[in-house]
Amino acid sequence: MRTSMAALVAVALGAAAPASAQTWSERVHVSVNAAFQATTNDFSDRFEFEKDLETGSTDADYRVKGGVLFDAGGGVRLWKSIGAGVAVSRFTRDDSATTETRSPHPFFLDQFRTVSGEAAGLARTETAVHVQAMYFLNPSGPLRIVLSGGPTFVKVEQDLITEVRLTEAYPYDTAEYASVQTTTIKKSKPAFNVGADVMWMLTRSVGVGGIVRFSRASIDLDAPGSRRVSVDAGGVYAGGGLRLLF
Amino acid sequence: MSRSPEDPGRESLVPRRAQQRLRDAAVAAAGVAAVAMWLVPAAAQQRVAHGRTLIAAQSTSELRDAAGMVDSMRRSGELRLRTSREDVLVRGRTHERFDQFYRGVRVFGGDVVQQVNRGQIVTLYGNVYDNIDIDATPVVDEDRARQAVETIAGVEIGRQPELVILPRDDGSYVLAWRVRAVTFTDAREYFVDARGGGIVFDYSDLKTQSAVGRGSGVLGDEKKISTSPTGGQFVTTDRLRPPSINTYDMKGDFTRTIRYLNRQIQLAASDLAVDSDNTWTDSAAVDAHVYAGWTYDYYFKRHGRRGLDNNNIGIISLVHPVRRQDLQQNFATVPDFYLNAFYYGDGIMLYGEGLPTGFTFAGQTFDYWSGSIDIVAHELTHGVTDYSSRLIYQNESGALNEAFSDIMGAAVEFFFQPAGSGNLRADYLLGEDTIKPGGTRSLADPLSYGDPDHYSRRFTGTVDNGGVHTNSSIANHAFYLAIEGGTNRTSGLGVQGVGGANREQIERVFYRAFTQMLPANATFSLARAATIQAARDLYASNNNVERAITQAWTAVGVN
Repeated sequence: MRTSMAALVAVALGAAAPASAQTWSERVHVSVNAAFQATTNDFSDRFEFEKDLETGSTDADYRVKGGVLFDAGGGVRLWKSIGAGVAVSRFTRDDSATTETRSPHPFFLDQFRTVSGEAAGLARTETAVHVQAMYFLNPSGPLRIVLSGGPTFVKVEQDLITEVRLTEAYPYDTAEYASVQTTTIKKSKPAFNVGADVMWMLTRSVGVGGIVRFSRASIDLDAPGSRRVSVDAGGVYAGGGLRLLF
Repeated sequence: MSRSPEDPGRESLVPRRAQQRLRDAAVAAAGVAAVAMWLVPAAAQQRVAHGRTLIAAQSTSELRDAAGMVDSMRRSGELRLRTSREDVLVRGRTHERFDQFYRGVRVFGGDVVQQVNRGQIVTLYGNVYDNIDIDATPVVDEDRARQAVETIAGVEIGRQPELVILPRDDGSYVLAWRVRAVTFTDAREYFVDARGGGIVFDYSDLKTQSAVGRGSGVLGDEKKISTSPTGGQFVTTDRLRPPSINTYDMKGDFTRTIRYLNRQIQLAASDLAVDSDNTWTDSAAVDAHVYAGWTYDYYFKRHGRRGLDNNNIGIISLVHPVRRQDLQQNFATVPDFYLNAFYYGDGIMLYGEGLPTGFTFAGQTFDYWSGSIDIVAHELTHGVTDYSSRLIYQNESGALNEAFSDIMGAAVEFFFQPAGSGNLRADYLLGEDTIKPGGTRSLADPLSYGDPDHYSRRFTGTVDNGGVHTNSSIANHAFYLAIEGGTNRTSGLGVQGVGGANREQIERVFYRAFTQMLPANATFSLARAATIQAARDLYASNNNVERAITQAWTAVGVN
């Protein structure tokens, strides 16, 4: 993560190098982007349950692949090339988890059935509010650059498996995966962000641009059964969209 | 282990040495023959967890406090009267039941019930939830909720879903549609998130549920026991296996036991062995019930057989037909009820009580007969024979009848216990776990128990129905030799067995021959021919099995 951030800062500083240029004449800019979050945030969970006098367990490996993300924000130039802004990003994806459950046998002690399954449709939503200090650059003509960084407030909503339902029938020596019961856990945590927005103005007020932003948080979700599930949220995302300057 | 003309429906496992002394007396004897919702004793109101408060008010001060809270909730609309019923047992009293509501939506599981005597509250019990702070407006409509459950349950639901507040274990609340789905095997309550659409909770509401309890066997071993909850207690009814398996506690009433065995009375649910918390300490009942299930399992898994009649006939076990403390007054009348186990036909088993500590019979101590898995399997196998070959219980066919029970008894023991010697270890002794020392018979070395290991030594008298318990050892020993190999002590002939790792081959051969091929009046010679043919049928490509069977019968002098 630190390597990624350092690289991003280096890119941003590189872009800033030819800043012999003019400062912006506009005060306000707005950006609306469709982006792709490249980072996968797979995680694991394990929980135990009581069944037929014994303790069974389920290990779940959740996949959270990258995907489409929407980002919108704006900023105000406050003094010379320095300004402040805020952006909101939202990432939503339904993904899956593989489960392996050890379920006690109803007739015999210490005789567990191991059942594997895959649960689909587990939703992950990441909503982030990025508060940013901004540095405005206008290297030449219609090219505009905004470098930004600051705190991020990330809210993660994750569907967690709370029970794996099995289908079993006499003589119960095996069992089949049937379905899962889930619950949605939400938690927020502060993090940070750093990014760059490169614009090409088509008219005085309207342009297009590309954005790259990095924000990252590790969050402990408070799952049922007083257990904590550590998940990572965010990562690098890049995309493009509309730019408006005023 | 004899079926005599005088006693046509009973097959027993009496030790051979004791049998003669018991026989007459035994035959004569047989011929005569609310759940309280919450219990919080220390305080009127107790916050137990996550916003849930239990109310159990009985004393004057407790009632005053609780009534104040309830009255406040009634006035605010959080408690609404559901029912008010006159007490039919105590005149003047009324029972009022209130449901808890939150913003007009019923809180699932939140209710209060008060007993009123002419305006005065006598008792007040309940369970209310507080700190509920959720939006009570559904986003998902009831049709969508019903469809979600229909998809999962695979049935069409006509019943109207109910919008409820569902308290969760973690103290949170969910606005949910409660949908009941009845299938062929279950009646299940589903709770569909009324704002998200997912199933947030469900449970089986089928009232005749099974339960898995923990029991301590005759030898003190811990095991699971399949029981059923009823009336706040648990009874020995196994609902997890296909047949009905019930174990009855005869509570030492041998007269009633005999009347039942003679079909003069029926047993009721109240006769089932019972335990208050499903942690069972009646070891005789535990082992009778558990081992009946395990024997069913063996036949199903090893041979694909569904119970005694292959059609899941019910299995009934009777324990405690007498009391040990009544030994001296009862022994002369019903010695078998202390010193034997029986199959009485129609799936009914009876297990003797054994002897009190310090008592011996013929130099052996006797614990509860159900404590030996091979004895239980032996008796149940008499039922298998009754519903298959019907081997006539005298002379050679009777000896084969007994032998098949011994053989399957040993097979079941090896199926569930590790091989070895001592308690709860599989060996070729019969009943050794509860009849000490040594059990009643040996399949490995019949001569050491005074039983013949060779056809030339067979008993030819009339006692014991022509020696059915004695001569069974000839076939028993053939079974043993076919598995383990060795040399017959009488003939000196050696057998190359299939080995313990392949014991299921010999078990299947004997099962096939004895249940599907033998006629009722079979002889040892016919048993030899049938088992050899069964070996060819089952293991045509494996000469080892046929060779082992053939050599074994030859070694014991059966040609």
